[in-house]
Amino acid sequence: MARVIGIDLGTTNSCVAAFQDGQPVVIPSSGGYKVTPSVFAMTADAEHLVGHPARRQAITNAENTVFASKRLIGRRFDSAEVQRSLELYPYRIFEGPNEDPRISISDQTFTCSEVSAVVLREMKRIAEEFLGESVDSAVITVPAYFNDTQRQATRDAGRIAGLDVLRIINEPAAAALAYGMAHDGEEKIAIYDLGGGTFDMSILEMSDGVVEVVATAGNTFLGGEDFDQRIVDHLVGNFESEHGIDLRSDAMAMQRLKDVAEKAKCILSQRESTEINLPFLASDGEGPRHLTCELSRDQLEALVEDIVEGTLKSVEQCVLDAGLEPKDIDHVVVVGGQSRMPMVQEAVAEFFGQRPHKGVNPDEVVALGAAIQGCALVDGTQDVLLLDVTPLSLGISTAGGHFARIIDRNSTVPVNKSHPFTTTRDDQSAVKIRVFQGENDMALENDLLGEFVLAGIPSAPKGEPEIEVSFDIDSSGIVSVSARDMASGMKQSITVNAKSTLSEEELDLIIEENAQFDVQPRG
Amino acid sequence: MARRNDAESGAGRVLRLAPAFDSSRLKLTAEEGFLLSRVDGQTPVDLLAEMAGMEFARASARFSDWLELGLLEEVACASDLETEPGAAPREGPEAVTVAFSVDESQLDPQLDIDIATQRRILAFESQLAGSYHERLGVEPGADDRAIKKAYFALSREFHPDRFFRCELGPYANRLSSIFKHILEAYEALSVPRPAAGKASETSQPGPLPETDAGPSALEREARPDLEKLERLSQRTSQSLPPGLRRERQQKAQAFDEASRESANQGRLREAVTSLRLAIQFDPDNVGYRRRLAKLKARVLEVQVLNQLEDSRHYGAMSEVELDRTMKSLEQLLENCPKDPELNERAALVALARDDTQRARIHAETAVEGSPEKARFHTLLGRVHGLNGHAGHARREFELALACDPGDKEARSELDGLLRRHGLSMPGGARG
Repeated sequence: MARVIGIDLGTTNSCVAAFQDGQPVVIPSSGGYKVTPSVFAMTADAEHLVGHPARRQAITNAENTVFASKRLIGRRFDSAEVQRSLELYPYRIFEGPNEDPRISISDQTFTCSEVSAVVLREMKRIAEEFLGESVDSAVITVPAYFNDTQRQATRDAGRIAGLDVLRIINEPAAAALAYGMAHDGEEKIAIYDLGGGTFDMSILEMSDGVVEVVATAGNTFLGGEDFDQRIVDHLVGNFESEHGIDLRSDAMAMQRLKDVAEKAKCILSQRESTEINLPFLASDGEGPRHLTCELSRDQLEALVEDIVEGTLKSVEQCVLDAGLEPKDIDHVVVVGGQSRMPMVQEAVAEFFGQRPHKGVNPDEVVALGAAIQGCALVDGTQDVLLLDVTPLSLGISTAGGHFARIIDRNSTVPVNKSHPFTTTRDDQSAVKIRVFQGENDMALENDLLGEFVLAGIPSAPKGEPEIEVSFDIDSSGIVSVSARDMASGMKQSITVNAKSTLSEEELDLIIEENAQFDVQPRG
Repeated sequence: MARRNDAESGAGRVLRLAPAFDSSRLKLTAEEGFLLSRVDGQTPVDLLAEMAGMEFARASARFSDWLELGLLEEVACASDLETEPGAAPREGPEAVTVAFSVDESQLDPQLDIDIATQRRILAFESQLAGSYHERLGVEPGADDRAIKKAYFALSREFHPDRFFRCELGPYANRLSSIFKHILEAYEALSVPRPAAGKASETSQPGPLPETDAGPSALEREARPDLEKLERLSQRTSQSLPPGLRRERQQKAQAFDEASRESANQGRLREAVTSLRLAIQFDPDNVGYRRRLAKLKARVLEVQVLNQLEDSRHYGAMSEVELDRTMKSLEQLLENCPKDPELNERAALVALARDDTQRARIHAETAVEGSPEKARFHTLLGRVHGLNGHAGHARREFELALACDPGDKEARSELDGLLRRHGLSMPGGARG
């Protein structure tokens, strides 16, 4: 049986794990790194760079270096998140044919799935090099709050990278699986996952090798990157008021600032203050200008206080959704690089009235959990079962644009639910079923997953026909929706996951094109 | 056991309400309604007839009709029940080890699933028609912990992931159906969670879009379809034993009180959550549902207002967002078209959309509503300025300064205006 790997495909860094001698282990790259930057770049001579080499050259080649593409994947180009990224990121983002954001570097264009695929392929390569055998299947993690389209786009990325994606699982659930390996007994645990680009909060219950996701909440556009950005804004503002130079249009200067901001942020998790020194950052008529300043932990905390506060709202929501109180939680586990910040740990500790659990490495635990799930699925040597939930409500739009929820968020999958609907006009012969995902009471504020028409309804006064709309989610998260007219027995249905940002033909084409980047394992 | 002799007339059989059946369209007499409401999946039909004070033959005919309609289902193994006349629903441990005969022709050695497991699946499947407690194999009075333990154990056995990518033939659908039944029983028996509530609570059976003539979101929220609510409430939780029902009603009352308190203190979200819990415990209470609809309308209103709170955002909003914001505002303005604050926001949104004509209308309405507020004059002045009416603009800025001489924005706008038009300020006005 071929090996299965678990990949934590992060906004900033990615990590891969597999089973060795019955234990899940994080696989280091040949350079000894356990995490690989999720960065992809093209050099002037069209060479593809991934991971550390790509990151190292980011400053001198900012416009052709893609980072944080996870924040774009599966979103619509006109979404607020993508629009914000247009301003923040030095690489070019434009609108693709499916209203999806696409990325252009060195005159080549990429879909977000392709960029993620480059990183996934690198993780696959690292694993193959280490294990000395080929790897063809993987479990990939995504933020719990990713919607259907984002998950599908991630699945596509796996396929492009030449991986059989066994399952897309939620990062906090993966963290819980890894945590649960080392802990027996019945426990309620809270997982606070603040990563590079996303924030997830989940509450899980476990006992006897079963991990049940009770509730999740979060924000897919909030993470360490935003902390860095606050520091950058602060530095840019200071520089402007001191020297009268606006650095925002200077891609190279901004990349240097971003780098130094991230470093300063990490140092301030250990120390009270740090010096920021960027010589020759800009120049004007009077010669070169340098940036030198002190940044203290207090200053940083003041800059990001509201972001940390914002995460606590999701925490509260999640605890409420679980029907629990903070004191009911047995253990709190913090995951994700940004959770290392003392202020974040303090806030979490204060909310739950207990210190977060220290025994797990926040950068590695998610990949380990993904490997465990992979192993549990394919060979059953790992006797664990993950009872996962659907993170967002599913339903259809009704007259007046109202959103009628049919499957509530946090419902355990697999699940099916149905609900009766009727017509709004006399002798209405067809209804349009538009499937949405989200929490807003107005359908259009949520994500449209797909639509279909049920025709041939026998003539009847309005409100008479009974149309049963059924939703079904299988254990891998694939949603299908059907509508049946009870009088005529007419039925129509769709499988919602068929809709993704890439068409099947486009995907096949990309997979073919990308086959040339496949590598053979050494040895 | 005289009852046993009645087997032919079906006297000893036990019925339960079919889970997914919508009984709201049935036209029932009061007597029939009462009879139906007594069906609990435990009491034999002849006792039900006795309770309803109906002749057995008549009651039996009704039950047959309802069985045919699919409203009722026969509870499996009814003939094994040893209920004494007048006895309360069965207590104590279940007779779990009922020997089920498995249809051997269903067993298939070609599949990736051993014969013993196939037998187990078939046997368990034939047991699914029983009560929720029977499905999970727990005693009727089992606590949350025991229920969860049973659910976890059965999940380990039957969750489709345990047979990931195995060649399962017809067993794939069986497993998935078994797990969904286990899940249904677990959700019904465990303490309800706010977010795991029934969809019917947030979305009543509603019309599908074809025409957009439905009421606005706010109206819909504020005026719930009471008739529908009442119909809905008829079909819920009739099958609970009276003791449990009372207990649940008391819990519901506690949640309702908590909700009122939260609402009084302005914590609306909390109030909604508590009220939802109340409804979960007592779904028959139309009053709770009415109050929930009202509360949600208030939440929506506050939400929209909060969204609009920070006017600085308008400049940073995408066009789509601006359109949405404008729509929300229009909805709110329908109810109070002269509200100065709302008009101010509408003017700002219109400005962000470069719709200066519309901005002028809203800004003027705001000024009319509260002519004493400096910032409304300033806003109107800015709009006039953008429309090229420097004179009007100047007057509004001066009015703003008359209302509040310390209004910095009006001051700087006025300075800018005068500078652009090469005018100078009247002496001493600055500072």
